[in-house]
Amino acid sequence: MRGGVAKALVALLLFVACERASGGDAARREGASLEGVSEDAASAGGDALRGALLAVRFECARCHTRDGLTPALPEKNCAQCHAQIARGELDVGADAATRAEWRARTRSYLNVPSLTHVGARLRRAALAAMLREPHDLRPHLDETMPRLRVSPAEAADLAAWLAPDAEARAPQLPHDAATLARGRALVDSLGCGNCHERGGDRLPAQALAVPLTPDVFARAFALAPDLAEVRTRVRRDHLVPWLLDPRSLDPRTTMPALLRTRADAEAVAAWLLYAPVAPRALRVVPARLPLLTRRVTFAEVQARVFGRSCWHCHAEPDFARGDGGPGNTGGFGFAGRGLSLISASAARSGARGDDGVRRSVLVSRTSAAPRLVEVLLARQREEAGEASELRGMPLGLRALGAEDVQLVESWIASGAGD
Amino acid sequence: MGRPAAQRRAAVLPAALPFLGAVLFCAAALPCAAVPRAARACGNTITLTVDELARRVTAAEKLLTAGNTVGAVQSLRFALAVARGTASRGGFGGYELTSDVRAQPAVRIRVRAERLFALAVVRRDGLVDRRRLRAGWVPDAVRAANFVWAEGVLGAALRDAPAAPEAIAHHAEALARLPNRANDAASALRELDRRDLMPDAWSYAVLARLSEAGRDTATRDRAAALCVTLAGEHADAVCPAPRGAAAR
Ligand code: HEC
Ligand code: HEC
Ligand code: HEC
Ligand code: HEC
Repeated sequence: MRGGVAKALVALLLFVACERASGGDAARREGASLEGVSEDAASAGGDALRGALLAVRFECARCHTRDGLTPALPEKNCAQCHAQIARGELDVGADAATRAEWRARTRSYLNVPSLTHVGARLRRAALAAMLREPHDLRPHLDETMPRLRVSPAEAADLAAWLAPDAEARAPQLPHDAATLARGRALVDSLGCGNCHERGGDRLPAQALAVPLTPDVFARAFALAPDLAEVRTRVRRDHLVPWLLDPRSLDPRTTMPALLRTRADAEAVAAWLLYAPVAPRALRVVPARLPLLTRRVTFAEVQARVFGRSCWHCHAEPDFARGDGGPGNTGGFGFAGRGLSLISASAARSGARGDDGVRRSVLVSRTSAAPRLVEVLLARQREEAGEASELRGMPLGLRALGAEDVQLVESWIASGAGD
Repeated sequence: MGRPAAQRRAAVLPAALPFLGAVLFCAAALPCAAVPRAARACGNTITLTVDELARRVTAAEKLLTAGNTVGAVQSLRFALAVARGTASRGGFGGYELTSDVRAQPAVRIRVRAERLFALAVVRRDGLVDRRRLRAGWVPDAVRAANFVWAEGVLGAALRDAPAAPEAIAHHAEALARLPNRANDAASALRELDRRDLMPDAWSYAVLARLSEAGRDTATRDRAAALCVTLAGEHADAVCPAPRGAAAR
């Protein structure tokens, strides 16, 4: 145990030292063109070194990889363990039937963007804003960034760590109607729509000129961002280079290089930046269903909801090497609310409030719905673009459907027993 | 119903990677016979992963919640022997844990199993032979000693988690069995009830019995009714017989 801590500390120190060195390099490189620093980067501010320490505190490595960031321990690494299960590589002594069942069930965190090169593509201010108020960036990915408890100053530090180099001022691209039309025609004919959408606009999926293996395509499809966000998200100085050769900015990206000439890339960039965006139809908050009139057992709720969507974050520490997950014993920078959903009696034992006092999650505090239901409804609203103070559950995962909420609500109404 | 699946999932990982070495060692050293899920035969001993042990303890918890105290004691008998590293001796077919029984994850599960056993002793009216880990008739003096012992074990659990409703309620169940401690037990349970944090049907059953003894019929009736609501199909095994029915 102690050895592990020591190793982690050494790794952190080494990493911080490297980060300091490279930060210095970056500053020297920038020295020459300081007046080129865009307002965007300057306004975001932030301290990359503090950001590196915060990344450890918020446990970003449980879901993301980044060169230089120490990976999370295997039993804590959500993304790595799930990927191992999907590939059939996790052997913890379970029999084949159990492994097959796990494999069929795990679908979250199989594709999480790497953080190594995000700074070459994304703007620092946009990164900071996203960390504060995460929203769905990728139409084909169910998971979103979880809403962490990040202050504005911490978000700025993390963004500085993610994007240490300042953005250079880029000349404005010509964006007359003819250029935009040419950009759009290129986007259509090159098949960007195989992976991307732009707001409410489904782009045509013409055959790709570059062959991709099914595995690479599946990952690229899942990770392709909504192009409506390019104007706020993507660095102006790197947009055209990205379109011409994505791998020059991120050697591990799955996005293929499809544009041949600079003129074409500039026309596409102009279309991305200046063509009006058709708004995406927001998910609607589903109507709440009436309570079931029968008695609902814990086993049912567990099979359909708690055991499916909540368990690894609200687990039983004795059965998980002391780690009850971020929602129970803490993690992702949360102190932990002590809420386990492993049994009816655990769920009945409530959660700690900010004052450290335990309260039932089965009774209402602020509204007509019990706390446990309130958080489920809050997630439905977050998906519809209405985030509130209350963090929606399941944190960062797709909201439950109306029927699952109905089941939880009916379980509580029928006494929340076994 | 989906019992087996639910149990398997209950033990869901984040775990066991370090045990991989031990399992592989066994698998590579000797041919593994066909043995129950996740257990592997290794010469004369059969090894069990910590995850599998956790599954057994979860199963015992479910039995106890459902009012099957004999079944719970039986499954704990096996789980405790494996967790303590004594299963290779007495008639358990030579089961052993793949990991060191003194390693943290194994210790956590053992402690959980020991506490569950203490709770089972209380819920079985003290009718357990503790040394042989068997449910059955014992003289009154042994029953009384069992309750004192159980209160000690569940009191230690409460000290580990002072504000946890389950720990408070389980300790109160044991307190209720000690002479002159019924009032302490009742006030602990009433406080949980007031805060809507009563964990299970058993705690309402005990509150009902204590209220009966204290002639607080209103609380007794309410607690007995909530016991039935929470226990569902297990109400007969867990909750006090309705008023007027012959005492059990
Ligand atoms: C529970 C898993 C999880 C944790 C913990 C987590 N993230 Fe994420 N993050 C995701 C997922 C999933 C996405 C993709 C979301 C989307 O596209 O909508 C994402 C997206 C991002 C992105 C956008 C990258 C891109 O290419 O668009 C950044 C930047 C990011 N995370 C940074 C962080 C940082 C910094 C931390 C720690 C403070 C962190 N994340 C912690 C799951 C996680
Ligand atoms: C050591 C491996 C391991 C780790 C680490 C792990 N999981 Fe899982 N996870 C699993 C397995 C196995 C399942 C499938 C279990 C089942 O359904 O019976 C699963 C299922 C899930 C599910 C439901 C299925 C899905 O994919 O949506 C969620 C949600 C989940 N895990 C979240 C997490 C989160 C969040 C973390 C990190 C805090 C995490 N897991 C860490 C192994 C792991
Ligand atoms: C095979 C799938 C695929 C195709 C086809 C594709 N992209 Fe991408 N694109 C991606 C992925 C994946 C990313 C995110 C970077 C990463 O995760 O490596 C991305 C990122 C981008 C970005 C940065 C956006 C952001 O918010 O981060 C732009 C701009 C972009 N693509 C434009 C295009 C255009 C224009 C085309 C057509 C010429 C195109 N892409 C074709 C997969 C694809
Ligand atoms: C990815 C991890 C994760 C998943 C999945 C998750 N939770 Fe949580 N949950 C958390 C964290 C972290 C907190 C604490 C948040 C805070 O402190 O603001 C929490 C808090 C809660 C709370 C307490 C809210 C309060 O303040 O009283 C409830 C209730 C809850 N979760 C229910 C659920 C349910 C139900 C599910 C499954 C449908 C679920 N959670 C899935 C991480 C998760």
